[in-house]
Amino acid sequence: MLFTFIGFFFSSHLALATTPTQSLRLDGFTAFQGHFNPIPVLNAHEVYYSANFQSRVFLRFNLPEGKTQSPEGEFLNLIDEDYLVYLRDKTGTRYALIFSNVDPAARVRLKNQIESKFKQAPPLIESVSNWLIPNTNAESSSSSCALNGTLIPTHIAGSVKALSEQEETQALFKVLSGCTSGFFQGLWDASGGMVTGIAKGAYGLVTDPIGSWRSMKSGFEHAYEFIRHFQTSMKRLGAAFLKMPLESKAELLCSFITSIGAGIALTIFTAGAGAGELAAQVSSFINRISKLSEFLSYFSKLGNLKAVLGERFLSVFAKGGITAERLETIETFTHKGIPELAKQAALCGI
Amino acid sequence: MRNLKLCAILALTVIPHLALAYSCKSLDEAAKFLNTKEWMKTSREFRLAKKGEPFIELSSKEAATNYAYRFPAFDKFGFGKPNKLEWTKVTGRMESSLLNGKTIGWERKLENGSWARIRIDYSPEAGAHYNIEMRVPGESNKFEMHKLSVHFNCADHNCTAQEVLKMAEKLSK
Repeated sequence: MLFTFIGFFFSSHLALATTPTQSLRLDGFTAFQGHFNPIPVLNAHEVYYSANFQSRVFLRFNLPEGKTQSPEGEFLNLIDEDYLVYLRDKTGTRYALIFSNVDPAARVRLKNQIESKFKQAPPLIESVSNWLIPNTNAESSSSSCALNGTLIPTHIAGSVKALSEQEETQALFKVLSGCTSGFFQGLWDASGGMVTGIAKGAYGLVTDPIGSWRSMKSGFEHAYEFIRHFQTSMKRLGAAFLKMPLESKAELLCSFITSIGAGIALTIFTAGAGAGELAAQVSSFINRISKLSEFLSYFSKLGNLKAVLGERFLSVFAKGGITAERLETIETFTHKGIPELAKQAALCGI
Repeated sequence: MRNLKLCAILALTVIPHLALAYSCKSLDEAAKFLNTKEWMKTSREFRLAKKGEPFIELSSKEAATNYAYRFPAFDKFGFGKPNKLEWTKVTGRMESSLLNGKTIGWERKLENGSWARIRIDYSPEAGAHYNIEMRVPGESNKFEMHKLSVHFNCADHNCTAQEVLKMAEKLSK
């Protein structure tokens, strides 16, 4: 009796710990955004992924009515180990869960957990109007880099021990989601692409779930592949750079993503790291970092690069707005042990 | 009258940018001279052209002091960085100068005949500056004299003689 009471007490608190707009806490999974906000490029409202990125759960709310290929509540095998299940929330609105490479027992457990949650309270999606009302402010949302402490998992942020490659991938992936959530929203809204995208995406999951899923899955995999490519590219920057705090690498990645322009950034999800222009931009950015590796390493030890050097510097640097001669000047001052002048040169004229 | 106003606006808009561009360029020059070969080459060119010594301008006395005291050519020719153990004090000897009798810098001679000196200086024309001088083996191993003048400001204004004097007094302690 006592244990039942304790169990009830804790489960009530766990349920209360998640506000309606916050993502669910799924054991062993990380939420892509941390809240239910439309992710147009992935045709989902939230995506959860395991530490090795191999298992994923996609949530897509507000599906239209219409005949589905499987009864509600039953798993529909899409491709390989990927399953879709249609459910209804407290208000009777249909939504879909897709489990990709999640073992059968966990699949059922997670489905029950999510279903029970939304039977009690419908999901509150942040800024629902974003799906419908064109946002003419794409530029301003694309220029802001939503990088803050919460993007990097707390157990990794500020860690002094060397990170495993997988931990670093997780953290950088989190940065990608933080940098791009507002960014793509603005782009799609402004272009009007989203208005058609929403209808296509929502109906697609009902009328052509396999086709829709292929596109959603490849979007996620392209994004993962991009982060891995970025990490691999960073490896050629040498030991000093690799020892740089994760926060600084994250800041550089974020500055890069917001500097390349929405069109190219979109290819992170639609074509992957190998896409011509994106690959060229990554290569060029890594090359620029290599020319300032001592400088960036030095100043990253003093705190956040944005705080120490200023957002303006990171932005201009990421856009390639600093001349080769000035880059050489900055690095020379650092190399010769006069970092104060290196900083002065870095901020000169920007 | 209207043209005058336009000229004033233009001057107020353009001049700060020119000054900024100039100081950035000076930083590029300063970095270039941290490469000892580059510095010697330029210094030689100035000497042969009888143009005096090359100079750079830095924005603050702290920046100039760091630059001058960490000038890589000192290490390159075996002097080491200026320090109280191996270097000897240099005293100002120009009677008309406020710095006369004050410690104005450091110098060091090596057994191979090389010699280096760093000293702070002031003149109404050139303002505050450090002079770096080195007599070291140059082309064909013949001794050559090389110089660099590192000019600086004091907190956004031209340093006064009194301010330079204070810097020298700190060196005397």
